[in-house]
Amino acid sequence: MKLRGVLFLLVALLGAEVWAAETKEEKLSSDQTQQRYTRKSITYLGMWIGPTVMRDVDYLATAEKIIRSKIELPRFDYNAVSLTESYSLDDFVNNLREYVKKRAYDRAAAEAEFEARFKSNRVYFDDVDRIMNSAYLYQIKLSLLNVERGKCPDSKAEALLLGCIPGAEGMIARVNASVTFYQANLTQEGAPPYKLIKEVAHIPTVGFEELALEVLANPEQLPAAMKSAGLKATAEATNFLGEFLSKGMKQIPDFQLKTPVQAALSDGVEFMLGKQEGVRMDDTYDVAEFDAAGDKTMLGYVKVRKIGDATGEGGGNPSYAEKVKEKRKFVGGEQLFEHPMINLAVGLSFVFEFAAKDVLGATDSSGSVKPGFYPGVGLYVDYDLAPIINIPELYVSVETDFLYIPNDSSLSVYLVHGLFGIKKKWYIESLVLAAGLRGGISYYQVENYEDDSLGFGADGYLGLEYYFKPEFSIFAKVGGRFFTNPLQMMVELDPEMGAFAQVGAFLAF
Amino acid sequence: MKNLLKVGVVACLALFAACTTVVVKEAGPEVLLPGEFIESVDANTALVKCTGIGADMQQAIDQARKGCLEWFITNQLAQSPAERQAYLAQQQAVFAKLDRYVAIPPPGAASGKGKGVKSRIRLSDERIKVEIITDVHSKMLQDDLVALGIIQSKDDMLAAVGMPTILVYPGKATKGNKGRQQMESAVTEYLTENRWEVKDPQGVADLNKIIGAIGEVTGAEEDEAAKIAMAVGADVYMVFDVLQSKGEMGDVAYGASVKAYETTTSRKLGEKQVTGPARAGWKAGEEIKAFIEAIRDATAQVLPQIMAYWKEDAPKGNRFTIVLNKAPKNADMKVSNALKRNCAFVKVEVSTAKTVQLKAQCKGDNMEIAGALDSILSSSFSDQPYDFATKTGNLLIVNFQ
Repeated sequence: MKLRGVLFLLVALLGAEVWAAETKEEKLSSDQTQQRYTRKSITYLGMWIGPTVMRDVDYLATAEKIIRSKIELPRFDYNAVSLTESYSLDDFVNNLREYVKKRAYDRAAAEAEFEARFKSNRVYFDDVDRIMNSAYLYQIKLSLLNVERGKCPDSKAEALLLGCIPGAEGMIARVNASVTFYQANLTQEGAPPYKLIKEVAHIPTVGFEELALEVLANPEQLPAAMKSAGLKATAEATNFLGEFLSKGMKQIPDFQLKTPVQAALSDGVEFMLGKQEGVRMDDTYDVAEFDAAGDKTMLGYVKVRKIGDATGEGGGNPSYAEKVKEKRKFVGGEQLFEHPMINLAVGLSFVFEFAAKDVLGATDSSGSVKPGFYPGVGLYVDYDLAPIINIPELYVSVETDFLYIPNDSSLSVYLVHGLFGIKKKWYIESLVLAAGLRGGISYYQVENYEDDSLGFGADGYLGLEYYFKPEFSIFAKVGGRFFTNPLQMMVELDPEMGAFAQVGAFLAF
Repeated sequence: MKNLLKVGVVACLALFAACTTVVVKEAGPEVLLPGEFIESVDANTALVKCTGIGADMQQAIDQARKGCLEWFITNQLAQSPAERQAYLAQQQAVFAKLDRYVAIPPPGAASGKGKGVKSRIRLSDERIKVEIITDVHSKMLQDDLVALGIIQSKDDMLAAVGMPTILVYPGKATKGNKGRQQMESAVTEYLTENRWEVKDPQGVADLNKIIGAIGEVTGAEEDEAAKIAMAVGADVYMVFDVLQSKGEMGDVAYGASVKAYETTTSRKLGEKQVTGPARAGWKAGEEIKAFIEAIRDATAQVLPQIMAYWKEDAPKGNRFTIVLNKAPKNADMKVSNALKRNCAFVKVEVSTAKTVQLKAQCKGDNMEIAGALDSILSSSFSDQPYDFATKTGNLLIVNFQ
């Protein structure tokens, strides 16, 4: 019995020794502290359409095209397997198996996966296996697509988000869809052909497209105009939804871009991802590192400022990202993880405006118009243009503010501004300098009544922001403003001219 | 008051001493973490994995590269204790030219394999540890180490003691393998690329006759290989074996083992087993690559072991196997005692009525030792006619009539 125990122990120890031994392939591989994104291949399985979804081909095609464009990013290769050749998903996966097996060796393994080496033949079966199992499938599930004639919401916040004028008539589209990702099993023929990775979903989105007044007055043109506006509203709503679906997809670990820091510079980092993986200007990356216990620590964030042509196989020029948050000094070799954002920020602030002369003409004891001091709140939406125009930190900004105008009457009077402009930011690590120029309209709101008279003008400002994390910052800004007085046509009043200050916070998505 | 004064003076002296004490730290050689052999890329390049610790990435990588260099020097080039001491004494001079010998690891492949940084771990607020795989260029390093007087040049050694000659032979499990020829060529090619002299049994006339004349080789694990090595006059023989493993998906992997023996004593000099990664077996040529890669890597790791032995042993003289067939009575004692005058070491391995087999290590080549043996035999057994059946390499066979 004792002998059996000793033998068992001996066998167990020998076994442990055998299992503990590293294979050559393991020795050659990097560990979790040096993860790199490897290209995946992806195949579109088609769109499932919910029973309540409107069956107009044009609307469906618009929604499908836009969602596909948000999912089929440069980080993927596409399997050229035609669904028409397959009768079932099993047939399809079998076709895919043959295709990927052949391609994995002949092209991906030889060209895309491996750096030029002394031994050009270092293509192991595990690579082929991995490439074969990097075949992903996805399906769109369209659960809501509804387009109807309606009005832009009266709520100013909602109207601001939809980008329409409250009460304007137009077409409203409501869209909701999810994207389900599967991984094809191309190596074990007896096992299920695929497994579920994740279903990425979001709340319904709304798009609005205004109908022109002349069209509304001409019933003959209306059907065609409604269709055109409906398609635009659908595209708008789907685009917005697609951004969130794309963000959700990028958060799936299999699809998330990741790479080690190649070089830590005084103001940022260089890394070996680039155009090939679809790295975009202003993209945010988490900087993390691992300790001996394998625990991950977040060190800060960087934002992309220069996109190189690094191929991911070690060749080409690196990309550069600027430090925007550094909790511990970056020393190189840290791990970068993509922090997907949709480049949209919504901010809320307290506004304090000082007008050289009161906009309602209030006078002091000497009879001259006294200065005005108006508190209020502002709401704005910024959209980062950098990924489109490749200039870092350039935003298009829409803002509305409501200023309380003290007056002698018993009525509450507000001066409302609607502003549109551009904003540029410069980072000094977490401290951000901002400058903006905007133009727009103003009008008075007395209690619940909105006056039709409009004022026009512009303002400019300088601001300071503090970046806590990609999703949250606080800011303060001061600027000068000149607007014509909306009531100037009716009574002689001074224009709105003065300075303003804002303090607030914003959320980025 | 007096005591207080004394205490004050002592305290002042102590303070002064403390402030003026100069700690002289002797600068010894840097202590580095060991490396690990990964692959022999070609005759001039080895892929090595090593670890370094530093305050930042650059410092840690440089420490790791130094570790690669030191590992390569102490394991592949400077094997004797004297050479290692010489290296440690000049460690900083060697490190000054680090870039000449050890490549800076590239960014690395997306697959995470091959050269580059393999791991980066924070150890403390001030220290990170990195693991890298990089190339060590042996030719330039070897030449510079010779120039610095740390190791002896191959040419000098060749002039002094000669390089060992090697026989490459398949093991029992591989003999019938259809890829045997390619496997043998893989080992031979690697050896010749590294300027070793490889003996070819095909070129030896009457090989079977000679092997038959040798009789049994005492203590030889690989009897047949040992006999052929003696017959062809190889100082060392290498026996290789490969084992194939096939997966369900058509993937194929090979394990290779290479053993090296000293011919005359059958002493094992080194052994290495390597398991190569699986390859896509359905693709033409991949299976050959799989076994060649494994066998080359195993060979590359056995060679330094042979070299270490040879450097130590060769100055004592050449090793010979002497076989006396149908030897007269007391031939073992007479030949053994007489040879001891010419040789550092003589041992009778086999002594039967039919055969006497001796091992000897003597300064001199095969003809000189054959001459000495001829003198011994002619004087001791003048009435017994004999002739030399072979005097090739390290094997002397005498047949008495």
